[in-house]
Amino acid sequence: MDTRQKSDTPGITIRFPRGVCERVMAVAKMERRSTAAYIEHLVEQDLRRRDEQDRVVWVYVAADAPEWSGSVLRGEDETAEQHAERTEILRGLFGEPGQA
Amino acid sequence: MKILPLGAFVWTKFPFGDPPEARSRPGPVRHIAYHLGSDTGLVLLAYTSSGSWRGTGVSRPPGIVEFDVAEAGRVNQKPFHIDLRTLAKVTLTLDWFPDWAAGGHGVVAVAGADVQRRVPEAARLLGARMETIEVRGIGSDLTTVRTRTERDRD
Repeated sequence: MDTRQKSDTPGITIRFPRGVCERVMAVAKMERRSTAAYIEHLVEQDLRRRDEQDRVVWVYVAADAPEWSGSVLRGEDETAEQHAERTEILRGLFGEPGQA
Repeated sequence: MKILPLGAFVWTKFPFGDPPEARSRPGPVRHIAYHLGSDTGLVLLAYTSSGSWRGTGVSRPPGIVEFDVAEAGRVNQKPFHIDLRTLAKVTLTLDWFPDWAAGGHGVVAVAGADVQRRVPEAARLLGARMETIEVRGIGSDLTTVRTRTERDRD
């Protein structure tokens, strides 16, 4: 029976090109963190962003965009029913009129 | 052409840049986006990315519409996917559509009826399943989060 316990904080070795390595160490020092803590922080940030992508829809709004009326023009080959359905779906994602 | 055809794949300056302040301004590079719909002067876009979806989850999340070699070929592109989780609401101007003044207006292709059916269906499923819709724009200070309540989802 293997009685060895797996570590809760297994280590990995990362090799960077010298220039990158020097910059990473400089930023870590500037942020008053160890190099390992700085890299761990970056990785955690990226993992949080990836988790967020699975539960969040991002809507980027142009600074010069007028308020959306909540309607869209009907497509050339689109039936009235399809148009109504698409409008409803887009309202769900982009927001009802008056909603940010 | 005064308006974009529905289902157009078009060159844009999709606002996906960092830092967050840049998300209300044209992005740093040209990028093909999918046209979901327009109102007068306002265009609703979805982000596209080359290749198949590359995620870390066990399954493809809702809102990803993939196009294999054959499907992508029909719209003059290599395999790619539409990501309906990343949307933009922009104006129909040269700032956002850098090729709008050129012949073809930067439209690479227009999706056929099958794609135009697939995309709203994926968007409908996405809207029903997502917990949060986050609106980011007009400066990083304006971030509005619409979170569905249990009652909304029922």
